[in-house]
Amino acid sequence: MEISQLILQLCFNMIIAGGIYALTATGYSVIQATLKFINFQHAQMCVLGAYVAYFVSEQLGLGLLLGCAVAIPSVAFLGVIIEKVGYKPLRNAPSMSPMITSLGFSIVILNSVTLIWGPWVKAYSLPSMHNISVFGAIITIPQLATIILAIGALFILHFFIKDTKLGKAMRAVADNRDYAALMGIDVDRVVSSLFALSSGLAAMTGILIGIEGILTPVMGTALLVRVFAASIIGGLGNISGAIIGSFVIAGVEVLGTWFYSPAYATAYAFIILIAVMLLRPGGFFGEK
Amino acid sequence: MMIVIPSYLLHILIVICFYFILAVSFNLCMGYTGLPLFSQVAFFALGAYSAAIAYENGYPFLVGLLLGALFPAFCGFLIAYPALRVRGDYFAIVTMGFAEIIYDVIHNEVWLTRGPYGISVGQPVIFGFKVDSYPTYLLLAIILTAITFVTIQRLVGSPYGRVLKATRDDELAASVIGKNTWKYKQQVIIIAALFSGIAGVYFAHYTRFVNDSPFTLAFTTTVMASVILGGLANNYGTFIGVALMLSFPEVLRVFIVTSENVGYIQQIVIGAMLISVMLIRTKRITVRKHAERRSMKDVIEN
Repeated sequence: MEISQLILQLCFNMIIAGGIYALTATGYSVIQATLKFINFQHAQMCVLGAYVAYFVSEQLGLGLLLGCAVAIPSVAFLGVIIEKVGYKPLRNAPSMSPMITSLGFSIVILNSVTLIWGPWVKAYSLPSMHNISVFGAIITIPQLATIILAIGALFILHFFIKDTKLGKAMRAVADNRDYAALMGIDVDRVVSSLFALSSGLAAMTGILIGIEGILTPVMGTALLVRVFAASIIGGLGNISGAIIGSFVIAGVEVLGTWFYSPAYATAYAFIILIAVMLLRPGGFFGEK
Repeated sequence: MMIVIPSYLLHILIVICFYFILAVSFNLCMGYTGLPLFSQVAFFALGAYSAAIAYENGYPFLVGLLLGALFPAFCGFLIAYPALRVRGDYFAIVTMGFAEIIYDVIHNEVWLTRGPYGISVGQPVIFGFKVDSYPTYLLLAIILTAITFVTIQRLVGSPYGRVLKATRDDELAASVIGKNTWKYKQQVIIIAALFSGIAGVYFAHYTRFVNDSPFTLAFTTTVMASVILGGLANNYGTFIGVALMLSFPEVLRVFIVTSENVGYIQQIVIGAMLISVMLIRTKRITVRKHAERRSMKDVIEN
């Protein structure tokens, strides 16, 4: 393999991984920015979405498109219910309380999924497709779809947060919840819509991961640690920071996997995180 | 049957003992100082592997115990630097990352730890006294647990402990009255790591085999759940929490035939419990606000 080909291939791999991390990290940061607690449950929503889609498309045999159509809204709905039950009563409690609640939800979801579908590896049955070769670097069709969907979703989210009424309300709530309420913003409604958005996004990401690779119940945990690292590196609750952080993490992971060993994929993210913490405790774009 | 039942009970008591060591040191961090220490399983694993590797190289139990206490403590000293730089709860994430790194190292550095294949460990011999049966193991466990409990209980009751509580409740105020809260937090992490390491040494010598499988996040959350169940910053409550948490799966085994699912159901119940305890506890926040002012007053008067 030529060196230019290698660089291109590594870039592709980085964009695919980074796109998936960025989608998850965005959904995570939306909640982090408004409610200001560490949400352990977020990545498990990816797992749940992926498995609900698996149930509809493989076990019921209805196809993956219908699987998406069922999984994304139902996980979004579950996200809203969890918010109402688990986080709303804790909104004025110290941030450690909702963090522990979310840890509880994440454990419940992870183990329920394992109990229902078993701990073994699963995959969507997709029609066999040719790989595309771009200047010698190889990319599969699902990977291409992942890249396009991820980048498209990130753009839509960007405009959503910047321009729509709900996006503006979200930023107002993130800035100061009490002032936002005084200005006539229905905080409960905003938070519910954000949970629906972030959970739905998580379900979509989970399905993308499943299309691009395989499904296992533990994939959420692996994703979660990277998303945490990405959002801290980018600066807490800073959405564009989290996206950049995701690509940094993906880049380091791809390089580390290529040049050293894939066995330490999770550790790379945290080694970077620890290094950033020692140099710039607020993250790249966070306040000092 | 007459022999089997007591040894089964002794086994549960032993497990409760070393979980209690872990829970008390976790409580020192999370309950008394407000640091959600997610890397406890890493310190536990480091202690277990220090003991296992020391044993493999022919060193006696006490050397392994010393190594298994000091090496995790040293790692705790180091991890405090990045972990205490992040704001508030994100301490949890950095320490969780540290635990992930340690797990990856154990899993992959097969030349040192034999990864999933594991290391066999022998029975401990202390000054010629052989620990080779359930009662003697229980005796050793009780001694180690008593040392841990008394040390930490005295620590949190002393002026030192009052500084910790003040740091938890209002760090700024604690530093204004001249306490170096950073140093206190680092010391707390070191102490917790030390005792978790000791529990790890005991675990290695008790199960007589260590591999990478127990040292996952689920381990930390089990310890955390038992502390939260018993009530944060209450070591007696923690004991009840640990006892409930560990006897519960044994009860479950009686009712559920397929034992492979016991682990998952246990975890689901742990999760549900974390949620419900948190939701019930919020009602008591006002009580805590009152305690906050009191802990501050205690430190100032000292």
